[in-house]
Amino acid sequence: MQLTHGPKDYIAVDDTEEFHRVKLLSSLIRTAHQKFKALAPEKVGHNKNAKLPMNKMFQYPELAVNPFRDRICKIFSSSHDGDCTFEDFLDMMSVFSENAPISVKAEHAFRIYDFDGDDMLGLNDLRQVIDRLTGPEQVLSEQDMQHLIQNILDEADLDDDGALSFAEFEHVVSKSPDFTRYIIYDTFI
Amino acid sequence: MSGGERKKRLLPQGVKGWEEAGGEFYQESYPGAESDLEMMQTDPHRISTLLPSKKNRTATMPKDQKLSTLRHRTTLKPQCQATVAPQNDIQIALLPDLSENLSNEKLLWEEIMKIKAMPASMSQKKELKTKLLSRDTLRLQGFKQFKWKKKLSLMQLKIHLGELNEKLTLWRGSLKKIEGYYGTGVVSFFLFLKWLIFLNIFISLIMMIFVILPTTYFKKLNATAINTSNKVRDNSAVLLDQNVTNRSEVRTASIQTSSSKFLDLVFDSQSMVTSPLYYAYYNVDFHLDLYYFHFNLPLAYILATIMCLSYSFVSVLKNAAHGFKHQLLENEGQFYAYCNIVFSGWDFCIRNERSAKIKHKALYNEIIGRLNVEKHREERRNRTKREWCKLCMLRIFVNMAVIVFLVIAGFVIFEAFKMSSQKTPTMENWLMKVATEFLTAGSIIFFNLLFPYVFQWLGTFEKFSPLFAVQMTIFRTIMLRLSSLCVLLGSVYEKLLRSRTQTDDEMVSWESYLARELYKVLVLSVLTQIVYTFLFNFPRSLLAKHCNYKVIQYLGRQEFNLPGHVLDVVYIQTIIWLGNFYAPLLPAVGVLTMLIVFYVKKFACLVNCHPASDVFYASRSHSLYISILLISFAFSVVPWVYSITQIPPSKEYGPFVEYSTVWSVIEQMFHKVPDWLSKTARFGISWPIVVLLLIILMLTNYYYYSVYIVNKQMVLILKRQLILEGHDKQFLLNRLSAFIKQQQQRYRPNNSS
Repeated sequence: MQLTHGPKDYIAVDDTEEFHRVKLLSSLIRTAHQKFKALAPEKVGHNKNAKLPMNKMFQYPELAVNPFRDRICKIFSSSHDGDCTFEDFLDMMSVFSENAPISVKAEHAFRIYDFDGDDMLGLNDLRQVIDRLTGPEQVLSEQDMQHLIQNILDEADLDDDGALSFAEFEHVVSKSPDFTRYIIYDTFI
Repeated sequence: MSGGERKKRLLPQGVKGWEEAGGEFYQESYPGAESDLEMMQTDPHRISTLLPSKKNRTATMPKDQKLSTLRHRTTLKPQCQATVAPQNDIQIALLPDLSENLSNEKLLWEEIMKIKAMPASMSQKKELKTKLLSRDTLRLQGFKQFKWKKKLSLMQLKIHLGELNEKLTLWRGSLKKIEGYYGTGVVSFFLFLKWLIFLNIFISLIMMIFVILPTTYFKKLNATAINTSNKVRDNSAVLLDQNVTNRSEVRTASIQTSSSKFLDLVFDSQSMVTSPLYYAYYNVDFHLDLYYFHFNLPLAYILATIMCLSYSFVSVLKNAAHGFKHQLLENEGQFYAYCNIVFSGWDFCIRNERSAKIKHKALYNEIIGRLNVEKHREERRNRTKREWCKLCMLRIFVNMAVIVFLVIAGFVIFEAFKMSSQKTPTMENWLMKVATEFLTAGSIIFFNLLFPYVFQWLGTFEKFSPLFAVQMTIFRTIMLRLSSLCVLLGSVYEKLLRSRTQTDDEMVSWESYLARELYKVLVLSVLTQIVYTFLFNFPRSLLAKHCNYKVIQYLGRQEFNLPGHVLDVVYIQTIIWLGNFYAPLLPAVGVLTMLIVFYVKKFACLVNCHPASDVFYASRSHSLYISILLISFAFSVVPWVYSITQIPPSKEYGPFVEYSTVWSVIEQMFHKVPDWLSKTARFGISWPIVVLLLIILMLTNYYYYSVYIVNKQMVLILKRQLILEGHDKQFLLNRLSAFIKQQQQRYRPNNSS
């Protein structure tokens, strides 16, 4: 991992090889690294293990407008505070890429939606998800919100305990034809 | 959002605690039982998260992996603890232990690939991998080694090819940009367009290879042969021989003198005979032998057309099957409609702030819309008889109005056709000439542009649910488009019938005449799209952007009306299918026009329009396009089949001058094949075999139907059972927590004393 190739492609060969075998294609990793570097060139340029704070990560175009961006950063950050290293960033990209298996996507989606971290999507989690989806400008009326949550639970809560467990979530999501399509970051043009 | 943050800050310790406990819970001997009890004593409600059904990470794993996890965990766990942070511990622990039973490189590789599918972070995966690599592995020997090496290099090659493919993919950038603005629903339209372009490229390649190139080649060969014999033979004798070549020479001279070539292609009725654009060019009045090779043009012509159409049919069907699967899932998943909105509602491809705002709004509208539909349903149930009757009358009236409009459109198109075909010699002005030539095509396009708005307006009176209203409008519009083409076909047919009694210069080859009309419609429809987009909609959008008056903004704002654009493209494809036989170059021209349309639509989408306030789901819209395409395919094949089996081909030009119908070529070919083949074929279509096949088909159908019914019942029963189990579980949990509370109360006095 020496800086033998100059600052531009300093991901050393063995490192690239490593990723190449495990996750993505080598050239794609370089592209991803360039994108990562573009977020904060002064930081990433010198330090391989540079950690970008969460608000820097939000500059990434798809994240910038995503209502769940802080959740996404937190889920993928290795220090669990939303700050991401390049490795975390790569992780994020690979999960959101087209080729990731749906089980992996469902797992991460579940964690994104699980705001209070109790491994169940409870009423409050659902409420927050819906609030973020409709955005700050339109707010559902309390009656509609309750109606909607009730409908979701009617649909998906198979064991009738008032919250969605991961198994129930995955069941619903795997039936949804748009789920695979929607969670796609096609980052590499 | 703020609530979530607050909760987050409160939680970490608790999370850590249960996660650790959860990890222990799965060990066979449950050594962590004491810690569980301790934890439960601090918080009795925590116990519910310990239940197996509440675990996510184990649930994601395939069955075999899960088994191996349980078996090997104890061996892996101590090693992990040294390296990985404690809260990641169980994640690692729950991942399958891949370190055992590694006999050789191949297995090692496969295990490494398995890591890929795990929901763990990269550092953990790396950890696992290094662990695997550090193990002793056996090298494969001999042939196995060779096979393995080959497989590896093939895999490498595949990855490289995939990379290359990624770079070469057509319009990647454009599609990505559109996706960023409008989401996957609109992109699926552009993908559909791209797919159609490739389909047409393939069709035109077939026509090129089997019909166009050989014919032109042989014609040229023939012409040179005639030229060389020209010098030897008497001039007058040759003149008879080269009837066609001569005519064409005269004509090219006239073309160059009168006006541009393009206009003559359109106007000059003689060009129908000499241009390879049209059917009549493919004549058989020349030698078709080259050495030992005999080129049977009529047979090649009809077979190539059949090949094209069947290829299109198969690929459309393949796509449709895919789409219908989704549709079925969705229909079954009517129950999951709300979950679909909430859990996969956000389009993660959006990267533009304006679109994000609109997406928020669209999702809000969708949610409100769905809830309103439910209210609407409730309302409908409460509707009184009188209201119901009124609505019924209104709907009947609207449908009548639609039919009246269709009839008017048909009548006007028919009249326009009559006018343009009764050419008066006094029309010297070329502008007038253009106007009359394009009168039919123009009126068709005019109605296509105007009536969808009328239908949409009429649809508002019917009070259907919004989704059904959109479908109704699409259905009516497609009826309009197809029926206008129908009128065109009908009037050509009528003219053909008339030409049998009185000579008509244009009808010497009615196939070419029809082809020319279709070319006109195609070219004109693309032209109108260009004009409509750039000269009408573009200024409108500019006005809307730069003017602050409300009226102008209202007039200038445009939404990307997806169904309309889909219909435009499907219409082009219908014309191509319809004219494939009469104009072999039509698919190639179609590819060109579709390329133009792609860029026009891209402009319309990115520059002119605002994202629509309705949500277009990729899956839903895709199956819609394909079903529209199937309808128009059926529409374009039926008249063609009628024409090749019933209408005699023109007597002077074209490959089928010697035949009574086009189909008789196939019949003749059938007579020439070896005896055994024709006998088996005849046996295959004899009635006992057909009836037998039908019965087998019905029986299999019935079998699958009954399996479906049984499965459906099973699903219902299982669902009920699941709910019961859930209640059981809750009951037990309540009991348990009550019991623990009791225990606590018993301990507490002891401790205090």
